[in-house]
Amino acid sequence: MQSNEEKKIVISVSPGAFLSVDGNVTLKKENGEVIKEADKLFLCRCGASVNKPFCDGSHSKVEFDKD
Amino acid sequence: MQEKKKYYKSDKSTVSFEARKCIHAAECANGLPEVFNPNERPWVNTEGAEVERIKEVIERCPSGALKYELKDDAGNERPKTNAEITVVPNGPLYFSGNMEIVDSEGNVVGEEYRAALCRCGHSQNKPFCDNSHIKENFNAE
Repeated sequence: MQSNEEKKIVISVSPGAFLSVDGNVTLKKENGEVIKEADKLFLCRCGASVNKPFCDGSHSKVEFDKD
Repeated sequence: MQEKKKYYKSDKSTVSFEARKCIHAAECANGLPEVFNPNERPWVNTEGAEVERIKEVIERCPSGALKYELKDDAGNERPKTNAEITVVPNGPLYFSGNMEIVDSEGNVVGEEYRAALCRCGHSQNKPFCDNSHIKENFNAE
């Protein structure tokens, strides 16, 4: 139990912006191909990034302000 | 928002289902139709298969809408040791691992092993996916 607690990742919703992922994760395509291994990620959740799945700041241009 | 879950109990296990998280990936109905049959009421028949098979299929539910709890705690679901995020084309992000989900106001809205989170911007149940990407024709690799 303890070891899993230590490895917990935290996904935080940034208001009007991105999903912030803290902790070691592997980001993959549906076919299993690894996009990136990271300890910190900022992922697009507004749908407007031209660099998906990553955030590129486009949320500020599209007035994405939802929870 | 208050979690609304339905519970389906047998001698050995309790299966829970949270409809608002279900995005109809259909791993359950395709994987074990003798247990998960949307045309029946109740739609979950916990006596329909061995517990081991029910566990296996529930652990494939990407949204985390389905969960189980066994009388014998030793057999309960363990999170993936290495957390993974799968980018679903034209759809959500599938998270798998031991995770905490925090909403935009800083409230912990989930301690989960599986979750499908919105990346199209249109879900009415953010941060969770509610399949709004379909009617919005969300187009992304």
